[in-house]
Amino acid sequence: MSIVSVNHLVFRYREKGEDVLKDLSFEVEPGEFVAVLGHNGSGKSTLAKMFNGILCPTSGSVIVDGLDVSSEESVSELRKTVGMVFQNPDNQLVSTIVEEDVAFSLENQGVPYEEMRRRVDEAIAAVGMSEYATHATHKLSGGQKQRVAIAGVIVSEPKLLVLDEPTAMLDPQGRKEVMEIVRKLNASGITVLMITHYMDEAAQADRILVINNGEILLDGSPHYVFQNGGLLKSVGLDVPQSTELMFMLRKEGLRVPLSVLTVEECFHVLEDVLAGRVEQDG
Amino acid sequence: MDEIKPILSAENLVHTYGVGTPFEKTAVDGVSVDIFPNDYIGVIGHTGSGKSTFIQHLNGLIKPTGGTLRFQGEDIWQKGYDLKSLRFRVGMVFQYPEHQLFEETVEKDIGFGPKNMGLSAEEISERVHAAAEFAGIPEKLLSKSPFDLSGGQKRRVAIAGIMAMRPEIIILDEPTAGLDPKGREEILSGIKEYHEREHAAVILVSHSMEDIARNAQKVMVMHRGKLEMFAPVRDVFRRADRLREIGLDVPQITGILLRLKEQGYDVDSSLYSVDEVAELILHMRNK
Amino acid sequence: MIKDITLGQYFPGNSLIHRLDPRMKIILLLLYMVVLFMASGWVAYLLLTAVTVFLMLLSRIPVKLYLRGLRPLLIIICFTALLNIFYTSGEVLVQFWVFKITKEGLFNAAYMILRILMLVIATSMLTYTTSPIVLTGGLESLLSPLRVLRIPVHEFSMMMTMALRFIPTLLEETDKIISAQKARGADFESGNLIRRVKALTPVLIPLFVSAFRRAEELATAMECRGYTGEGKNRSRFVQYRLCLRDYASLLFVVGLGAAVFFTDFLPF
Repeated sequence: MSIVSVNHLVFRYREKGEDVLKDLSFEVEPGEFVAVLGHNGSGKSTLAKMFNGILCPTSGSVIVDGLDVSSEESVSELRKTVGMVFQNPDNQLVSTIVEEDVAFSLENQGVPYEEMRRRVDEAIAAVGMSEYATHATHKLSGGQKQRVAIAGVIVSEPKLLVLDEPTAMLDPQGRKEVMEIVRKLNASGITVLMITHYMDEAAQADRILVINNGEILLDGSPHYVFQNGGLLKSVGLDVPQSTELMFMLRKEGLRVPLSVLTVEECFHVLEDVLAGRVEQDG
Repeated sequence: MDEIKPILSAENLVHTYGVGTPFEKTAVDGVSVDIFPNDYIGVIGHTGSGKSTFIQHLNGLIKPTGGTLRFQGEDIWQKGYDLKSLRFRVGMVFQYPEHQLFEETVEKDIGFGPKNMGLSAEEISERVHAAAEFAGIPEKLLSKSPFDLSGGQKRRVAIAGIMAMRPEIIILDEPTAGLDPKGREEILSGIKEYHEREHAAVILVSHSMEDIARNAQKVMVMHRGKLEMFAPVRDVFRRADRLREIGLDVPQITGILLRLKEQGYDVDSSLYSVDEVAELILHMRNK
Repeated sequence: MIKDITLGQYFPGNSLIHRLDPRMKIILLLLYMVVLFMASGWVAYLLLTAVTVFLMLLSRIPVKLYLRGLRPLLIIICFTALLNIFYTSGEVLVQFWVFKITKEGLFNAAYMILRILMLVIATSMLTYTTSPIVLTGGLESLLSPLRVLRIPVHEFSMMMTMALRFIPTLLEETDKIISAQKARGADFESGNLIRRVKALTPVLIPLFVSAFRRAEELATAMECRGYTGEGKNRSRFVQYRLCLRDYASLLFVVGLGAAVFFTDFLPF
């Protein structure tokens, strides 16, 4: 059974406003790592807010782990099932001390102290911040703050982790740290839905959903999606330089694969090209 | 022939925070650099390398604790130097500049700098329109409230606010942070246009090696407060090993060339545009 | 720079006083104030001064910091001292024009100064040795019985916590906005008062806009983490448990009170 099921989802902010999301339908399987790619204003952040009922569909439905996000009764259960991490790490930390912040959602659930202590320590360890447990939050780097924010969410043991551009405000070091944690959490079984506009991050997912103007433009593996480089560019997105290089070689008639995402993959293709193992048209 | 003189030059610039306290820290440690009119300089270095502290010296926002900074040959910290008018000539765009917008209309906000310069209403209006054009802001947005714009548009308004002062040097601290590829491209092409049409020097701080590679002529690499490298883009990316040692990356395309070189292929690893590399591969194949 | 201001004046440390339970510290401060106002006679003041100095040393907070806290009160202290010197009737020591200085007046002035000094020192000791967040938690816990009277103790405490959390962030932001407007030629230093206040608009508006945006995002994030705004049914991560040292310190202050009380019955 899929963990997320979106059926004919339509959303607009004001009754007579424009549709921000237009008839979206897709499923997410448990354990999947899905990247949602789209330019600013494509509706991708609005979509993120649908999964735990911060926003409710205007029509259609969003079901997460059997819970309908539109229903009032499922709200508190939904908040435990779905963890949300936002863009600005500063604006989601509640407490001045790392471990006190991580404990926040457990305090809200009324979890007894002993259990809380154990789970908080585990969550902080899972994001590699144990040595900072008693440090002040505002003195951490952006990447560290975001890791604390993630710890504060996974402490509720959610099944689905939704991240809304978690690395947009971070430096390359911070981005690496956060991506590493996200991949690790996904490997441990949490389903991940990550909104991003960084191509290199999307390339690390199992599957990419490209959203444009509130509609699904492409849906498939990173290799499949990046093969459609022209389409991506036409909607204001980019492809990795390695993919761009393949497009250029293709234009010259070389029959190279189009979806080459990493330095290593690209190197092997170029080796074949230089050794004459790739055919040329014309 | 006349020798071209640097417009801005730092001599052994030092900045130490919290002198005499337990928190004493030297953020900028003896940086000397000459910036010429028409330069487009990229500044790279990871967080804490001192690059932000360094650039804030360039328009006199912070005072160095050692060394001197000269604008057109004059020490900007000498007695009686007019720092306020220096700031009109050395424009500074901070990170997330959209957070500084405050006026009722886009037009007024872009005009804030020129107004502080004491220009006439016509002059202000002329500059606002020219700056809006550089930054790619359509005419019809000028009468709108800046708070009603999208994130990318706000950013462009803020940058136009600096361009409207017609600075001879424009310094930008991560002007594309958080924007999508299209938004990044719009901002960078606006800066490039300003650079070319106004013959202004540009200093671009960025974490994106691809952006630096595509736009800058020279690159300053900062590491632990020191100027690690200052050279044309090609020469900097050629030293990818050193860049990686200090925690920086090279553009992906450079990484691919380096990988080929490692395997014994005779390639010029200083190439950094995809076109150049495609050409090189085809050339090598046909040989 | 603005962000250099020490916040909440907390001075981290590990002294006995730092380690006391915050609730106990608040109660002890109140008790200590009562004792201060009970004191009369030089023996009592001598005893209290000795104890205060002892506590100051025990807290391992630099004396300099305590003195800094007293500076803004200097005028009030001088003023009350003068009032006491001149307006207390009794045995006249010096007399000129309409002014009389009496022996009682001098003593009263000295007592008054000591009382204010000790009051300020004791209060600063609480804020220096207790982090603001712990202090807020302690206050909430102490005041929680008031919930029965429908006083929103939890809400107040949450608001305090948020304020403490965001003060450093907003100060940093203010610094950035000031720099950014300076780079556009804004002038905050010259002109008369009205001009200077007006010059702050380019700082205040962006600051408010940012504070509202942060508040909105924070509210969403808190909601996502299951916060409902109600204090009941919540558990607390920070646990307070009274230990031996807390009871011992209570005993000490009560003993001090008793001693001060009995100085009245001393034959001198």
